[in-house]
Amino acid sequence: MAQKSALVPGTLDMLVLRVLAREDLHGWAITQKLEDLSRQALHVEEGSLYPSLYRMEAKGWLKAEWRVTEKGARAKYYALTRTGRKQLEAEKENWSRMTGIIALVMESA
Amino acid sequence: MTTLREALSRLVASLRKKNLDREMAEEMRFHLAERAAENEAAGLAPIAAHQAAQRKFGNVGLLQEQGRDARGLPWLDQFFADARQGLRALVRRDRGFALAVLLLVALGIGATTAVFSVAESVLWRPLPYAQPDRLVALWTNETRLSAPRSQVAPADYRDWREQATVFTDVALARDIGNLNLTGQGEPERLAVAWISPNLLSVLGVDPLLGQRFQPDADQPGRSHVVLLGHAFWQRRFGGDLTIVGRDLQLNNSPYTVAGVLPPDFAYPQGAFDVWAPLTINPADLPTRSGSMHLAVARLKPGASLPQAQAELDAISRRLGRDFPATNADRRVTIEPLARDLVSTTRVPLLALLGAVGCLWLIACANLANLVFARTLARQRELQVRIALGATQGRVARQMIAEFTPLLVVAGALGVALAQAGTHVLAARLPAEFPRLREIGLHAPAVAFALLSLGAVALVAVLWPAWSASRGELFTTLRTRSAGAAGGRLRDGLLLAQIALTALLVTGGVLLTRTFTALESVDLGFQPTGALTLRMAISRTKYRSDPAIADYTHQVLERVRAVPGVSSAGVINRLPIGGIVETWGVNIERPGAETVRLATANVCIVSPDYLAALGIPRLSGRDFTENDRAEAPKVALVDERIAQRYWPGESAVGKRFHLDVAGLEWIEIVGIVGHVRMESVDTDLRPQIYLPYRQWPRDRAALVVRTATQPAAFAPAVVAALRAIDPDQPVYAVDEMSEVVRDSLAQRRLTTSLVGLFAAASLAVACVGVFGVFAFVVHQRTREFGVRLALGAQRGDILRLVLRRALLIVGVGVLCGLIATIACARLLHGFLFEISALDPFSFSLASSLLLFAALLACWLPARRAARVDPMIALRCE
Repeated sequence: MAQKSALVPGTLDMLVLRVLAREDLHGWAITQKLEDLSRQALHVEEGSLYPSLYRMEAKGWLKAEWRVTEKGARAKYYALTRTGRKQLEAEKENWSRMTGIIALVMESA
Repeated sequence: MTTLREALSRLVASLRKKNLDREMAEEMRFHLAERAAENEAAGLAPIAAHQAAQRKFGNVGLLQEQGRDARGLPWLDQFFADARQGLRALVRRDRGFALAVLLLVALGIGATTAVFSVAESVLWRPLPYAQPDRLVALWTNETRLSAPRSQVAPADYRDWREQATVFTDVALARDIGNLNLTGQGEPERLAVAWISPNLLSVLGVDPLLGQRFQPDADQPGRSHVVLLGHAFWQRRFGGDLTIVGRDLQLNNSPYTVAGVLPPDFAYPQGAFDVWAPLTINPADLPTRSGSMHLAVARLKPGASLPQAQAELDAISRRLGRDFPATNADRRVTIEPLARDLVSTTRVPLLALLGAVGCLWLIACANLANLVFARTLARQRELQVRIALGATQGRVARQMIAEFTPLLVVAGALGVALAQAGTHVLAARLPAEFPRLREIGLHAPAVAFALLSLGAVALVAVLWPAWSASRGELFTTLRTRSAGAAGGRLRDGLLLAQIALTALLVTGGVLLTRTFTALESVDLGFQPTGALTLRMAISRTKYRSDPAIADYTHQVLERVRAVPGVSSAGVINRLPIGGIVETWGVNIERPGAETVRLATANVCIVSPDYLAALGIPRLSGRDFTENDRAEAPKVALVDERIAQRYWPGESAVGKRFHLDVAGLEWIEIVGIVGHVRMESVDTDLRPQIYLPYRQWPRDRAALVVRTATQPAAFAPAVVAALRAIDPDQPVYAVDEMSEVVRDSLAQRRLTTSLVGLFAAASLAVACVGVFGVFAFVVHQRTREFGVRLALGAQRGDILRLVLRRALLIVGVGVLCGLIATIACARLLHGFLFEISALDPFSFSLASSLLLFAALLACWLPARRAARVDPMIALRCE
């Protein structure tokens, strides 16, 4: 099993946005997706996920909608808005720039 | 943009809290169910699966709160939560404190705002006319008589109007007149203001109903129109909307109602029933003398007051050259109308505002002390919270939120009290008080109340919250006794309270002594036991002077015949009635030029008037019925004139004449005692008395001296009058002592209000002293226990506390007295026969305060002395 690693602080929003860029998901599905994509390395606590979702919804990056799942239960699905997509691009760029700088420093001399 | 959008969505979220909470709960449930399902699929039993899921999920409540914080307005929710908790704590544990705060704030704001709203309505609110700052009042300035506010002569008014270019128009008014309303039920004598037809256009006012007077309304034949005052219209005609165009029978001729004036129209005063066009009798013009006329003008846009003054000075000089006999020493006084109307009330109102302001400061200081003391008492709790991790901001926010509901309630109560207080004050003001009908709680007063509330919030909430959150009031957790903490501030606030109280109480004592002095002033006549009433004799019914004199004689004969009446007389203007007739008098000096006496009150009286009013006759004789129109002109003078112009000899037989061209010599036949004619607190001029048959007046006041209670005789006297002429309305039927009393009404009100404030401030200050010392004693209980254990006597402890009290109160009183001395000049105008530095008042006020304050701290001092050292050292 891959090592469980802690989330780098501040990146949860970006990851959630990325996950939702592909398809609309509800909260549980987002945690599952993140676990899948990270090959079980990433386990997001509910206590961090939901506040993040609500915060991003307040900022207008996500919009939420109640739908019925395949099993027949009601769940709240989150989708990316246009502003959210722009935000995702911005964060992606910021992240690659940051990692580039860190790599530069780490590998020098 | 994002932040605005975010803010909006947060606001919406906080409003839709219940819905969103439900949704959040459902979301959590779904998530939990899914995880439990996964656990089951992994092989756990259903219950175990569910439990594992829940464990993983974490604290649902905490999650929900975090969720709420992320989407709503957390600080608002927190604010309301703190407020609710604070309110509950106040109601349950600190009811006394909450009540004290509520009372102090509500009464303080209520009283201050009420006085402020009266002052604002009267002194600072713009007059209800168009562009009121362009309106000016014009007065004749008789420089020779040092009378800058003398009546305007209609002839002068005409010339100003024609020659002045700095005004758009000038209007004239005569503020005394009456018409008898008959033919509509009860005959009534109406108070009439005579106005030039352009007055309404000068003021920029339109009637509520109907129209203004036509410009030619002052021409004979077109002048029988009236405008009704609003209150009169409501009272007499029930607000009848069809009144315009109807005819009223006034003085036996028909007058058409041209319109109804708006309720706040009050020029020249508010107390008139109707306004009618002023007709200037051409025969009066050449005399160029004014009687009861006043003028108002509107400045042209761009014209300034100094410009107007300069132009009118030039015109006055020209008139002085053209009419040297009358206008040589006349100038014009110009004053902005707003100031002019309220000039007599400015100083009393400002003084009242000062007094209530002092009371307000005292209440604030008291409040601050209360809040500090309570915060100190909670120091343990707050220290523990800070130690457990609460930030300064959180503590401060909590303290603010706890207080807010109390302050809001107190503020609302205060505004309600202010509204009631304003009405009560307005109801107690005399009817002639300027702008009386405009008094009310307007926007500036409400703003003032809110500002005061803000000041209270600052003092009572923000300041303690700020210093508490800084831990400033506390030393460390280990320190037990915090008696010294904040001590200086507390003592300072107490000192300030006592100083202000001393100022107020001294002022109150001075004013009260003034008032009692006024009430016992020797007026020169006997008001008790005399009945008075006024008559306006209709000139249309009694056309000639002899007819008026005969009618007056008939009245007197009838009234004297009423059983119980010992004497009766008439006079043209009652003493202390507020109006006097004054003329210049020229004394005869044989062989030399006549000496001009400045002015004297001219009283036109019947025989027996002196007896009726109780004025002593010093020498010579009284008037008799033989002093008829054809007989030689005679007069009585008062002792002041006699002593001044004929010292050492009898004035009887000497002569003078009135300062009007063409009048003959008058011989003095008697000397009488001096009387205060204008008012109780002024004694400006001497009097001369002239017989009624030689100078008939159609306005007379009847004075009747009765054997017993004068009021009981009123119906009989009025009946006697009606028996002669049923259409003769009589008015102002009053005991003379009431007339004198009413003249002091404004003073009485001011004095009682200041007295009330002084008493209230004394009470508040005493409560403050008690509270502070009770608290200090409580804090120092341990220290007293130690002292007692170490051998101090109970008396020593008592002395310790009392000495401290005496020090603070003594210094406070001293500061207060110094402040009073500093304000002495301001007080001077209110006082009568008492110096502002009157030592008796000062000592009375200080002893009162010292006594009260020491009484207030007696109880805590005794409690301190009764401390049981064992208990004191053990607990805490």
